[in-house]
Amino acid sequence: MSRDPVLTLEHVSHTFEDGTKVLSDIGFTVTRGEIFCLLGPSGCGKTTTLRLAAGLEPLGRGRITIDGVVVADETTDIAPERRGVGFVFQDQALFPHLTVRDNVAFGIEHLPRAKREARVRDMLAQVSMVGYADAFPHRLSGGQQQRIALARALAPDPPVILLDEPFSGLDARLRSTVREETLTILKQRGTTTLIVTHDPEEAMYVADTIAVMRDGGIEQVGPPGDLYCRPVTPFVTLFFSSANRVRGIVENGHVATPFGPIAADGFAQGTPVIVLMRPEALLIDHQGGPPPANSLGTAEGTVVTARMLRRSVFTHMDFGEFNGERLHFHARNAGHFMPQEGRSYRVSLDPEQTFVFPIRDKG
Amino acid sequence: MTTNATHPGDVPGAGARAKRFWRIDGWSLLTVAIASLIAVPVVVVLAHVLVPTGEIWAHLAATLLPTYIANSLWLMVGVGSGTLVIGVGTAWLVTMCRFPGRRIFEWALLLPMAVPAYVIAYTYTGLLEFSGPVQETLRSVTGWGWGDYWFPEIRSLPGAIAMLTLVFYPYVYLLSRAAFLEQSICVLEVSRTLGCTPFQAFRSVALPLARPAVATGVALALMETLNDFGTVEYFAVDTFTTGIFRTWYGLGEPAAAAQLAAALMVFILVLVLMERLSRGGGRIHHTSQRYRSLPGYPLAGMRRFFAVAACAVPVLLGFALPGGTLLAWAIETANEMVDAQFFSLAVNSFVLATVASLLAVAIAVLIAYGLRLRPSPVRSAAARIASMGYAVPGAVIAVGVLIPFAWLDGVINDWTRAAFGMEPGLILSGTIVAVTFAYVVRFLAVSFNAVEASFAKITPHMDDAARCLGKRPGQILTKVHLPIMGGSLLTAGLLVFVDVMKELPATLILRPFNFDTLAIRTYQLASDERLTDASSAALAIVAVGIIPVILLSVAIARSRPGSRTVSGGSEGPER
Repeated sequence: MSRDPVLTLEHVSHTFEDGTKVLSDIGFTVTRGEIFCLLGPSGCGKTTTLRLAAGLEPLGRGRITIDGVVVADETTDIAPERRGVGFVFQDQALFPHLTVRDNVAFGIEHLPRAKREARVRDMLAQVSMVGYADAFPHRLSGGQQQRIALARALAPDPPVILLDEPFSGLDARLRSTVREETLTILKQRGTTTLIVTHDPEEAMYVADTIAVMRDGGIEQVGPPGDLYCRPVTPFVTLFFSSANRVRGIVENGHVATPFGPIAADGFAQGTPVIVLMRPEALLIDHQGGPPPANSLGTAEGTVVTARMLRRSVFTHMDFGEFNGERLHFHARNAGHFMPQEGRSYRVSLDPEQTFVFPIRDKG
Repeated sequence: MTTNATHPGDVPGAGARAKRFWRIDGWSLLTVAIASLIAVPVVVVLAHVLVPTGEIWAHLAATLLPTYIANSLWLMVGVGSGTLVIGVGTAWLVTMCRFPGRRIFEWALLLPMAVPAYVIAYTYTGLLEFSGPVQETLRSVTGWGWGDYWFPEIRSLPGAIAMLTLVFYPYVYLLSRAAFLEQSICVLEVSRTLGCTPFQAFRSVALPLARPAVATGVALALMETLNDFGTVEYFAVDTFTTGIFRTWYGLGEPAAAAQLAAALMVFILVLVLMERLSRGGGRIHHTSQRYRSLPGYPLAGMRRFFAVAACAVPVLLGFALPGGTLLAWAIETANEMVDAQFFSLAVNSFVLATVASLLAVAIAVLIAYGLRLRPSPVRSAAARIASMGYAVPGAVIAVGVLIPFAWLDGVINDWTRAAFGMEPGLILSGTIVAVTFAYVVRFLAVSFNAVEASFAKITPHMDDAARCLGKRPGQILTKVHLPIMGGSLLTAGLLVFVDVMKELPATLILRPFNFDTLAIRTYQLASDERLTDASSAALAIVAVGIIPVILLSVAIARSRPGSRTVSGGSEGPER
């Protein structure tokens, strides 16, 4: 697959008309055929980024390029109808007065009749909605509306398609099905996609590349695996899962934890740091024997409660006082071993799921 | 893809934001141009405050002005308190109490809206004057003769107050009822648990909560009162409106008429400001979101009788009696009065009302869409200016239209005489252009409010989706918004249509020579004391006037307590 850029944002900053700063100096590139996901909590500016790319919001500062053409910068502002990007909205925004057929044909009215009808048929076939061409949107279920919204946006064959929380309006059961279908269609067509979501699982499920956003900036960009396994900030770490925390000071390249000193490479002596340990990092040893070879260390903890959660067991454990703090940690272990409440176990720490970060103002 | 187009004249570094904001685009120019045009009559009238006054004004001020002010004030006090009592009282009864016929009264109480004030005035005069059926019956029963007995004179200030109250109370009724429906029953129930009787709960909780809506209703009724020309003219109660008319035609003093109009404008401005202030610094927020069906105090015995009577009397006096009388007269005189001429009048009324309502809706759509595309201070100011005509009496607008149009006709004729040696005549002020323009100025607010509410129901994502699919804003309007709004546009047009049909003072001043409408015919025949002959034209107007009452009733039916789908705010034309 070629890696040429389709949508590029450079040094984009944006302020709403009421003076609220929404984006400060963000930039990223979506390459051809890639599914790129903007992930972040609500209000982080991800939807605004999408609207800027589509031209629905006039750009404040920076530059936006689509297929090598600058569509917005200091001196350029190409209207949304001339940018030709596809856009799928959270509420679908199907035209209520038009049939499914006319909704899908809305963006390709300039095509000759025969070609247009063929394209509509083709699109409806791709989303498995051929039988609904003459139905009106209000007769369709939420999932069906979503498919038509996708077909409508894809019909003009846009260079890039933008999806704004496209699945969040659907109920939980439907969501995974529709997500799966959408992903299949996008991948089959090789459509370049920029998708926005606040759900990390959804982002990891659909995206080739994820950009985690926070307060109008991008924290980290990379493949989902990189972000999960090598997060660069506490925010990114905690956005993908919860974590047990210990604060400490770097001494001789190490920071003290209940599991013993952990290497804190590259930190100056005396740097205040926070150690984040995912629940999966705490391996409860119920068979005795030596800890795993790569273990960062071990500690004794008392089980407060243990709960079976389908594929794993979730355990609340007490590790006593440490640095004047009572440590109450969570462990999540695969399998069906139930630790006994009130009993002490040796717990070893998995380095893959343990991260050390310097403490800044925004922890 | 498109080319990297740069716009000439951009300030470097200003950014797209600034560029879009400052770009002088078609929509902004259009909305500002329309708003300026609509504002012309009001500006012309207000400008006459500054025009040097001649002796005529001094004469007016010394002799007639105090009478105008006194009569207008008395009218306002009378109609204001009358509509307040009837409107709020009936609204409370039908929303909060249970008694026979309540469901019918809910919409029947709106019926008097269909009757123009001048029509009800003519009808009651015909009924109650010396030679009318009431006094004749009285004489034949008692055997009295002329001068033997006292009978209330309908053609008087109190008579005018009674007439205007009967047809304007539905404004207060409509808005108070909507406000009562919006109130949370919990608030009322809390007041009951704290020891209030139902009436105390009404007085100390429900009424204060509804006050902003009631104030708006009374303000609307008062604006209509100041707008009224037909009733006060016929009853010889000299007010501002009749004064403007008489100064213009009787004394031939356009400048003095305009100054009277300006004084009236200031008067109304004060009224509007008072209404705004009465809403208080903060809006009233509903503290509880829980709605259940309203209490529905069941009434029994005498109370039930009084409730029925209190609701029946306004409907009988405001609609059934005048409507029935008109119908009887119209049948009686149908042979002479419903002729070819009657139909030509009807056609004139229909054409004027259709043209004006189409224009009013089209302009409202343009302004509202401009505001939707990009709300800017300029555009919202334009929208506000364009919809202020409803507060301005028809006579004032007429004066404000005629002065600039007559001047413009003069300019045009001078120019064509110099250029072509011929004169087209009064192509603006002497044709239906002037009167249509006045209608649009006066009734644009009616269509604008309806159109704006309809736009608000369409999610902005619809516009965004259409733009991303390659449609320009103009195309989106015709392909997305207008088809979706269809029915609401029809409603907006109908409301303007009916208002134009009923309109009297502006039509009287601005109509082309010998161009008569149903309203004008009614007025002329009544002025000639041919009240029964006027009935067929009057009845036609009332019949058309029932259309908005039906529309409102449907809206109300959808907002029945218990099936809380529509809160009161969307009921009816918000003016």
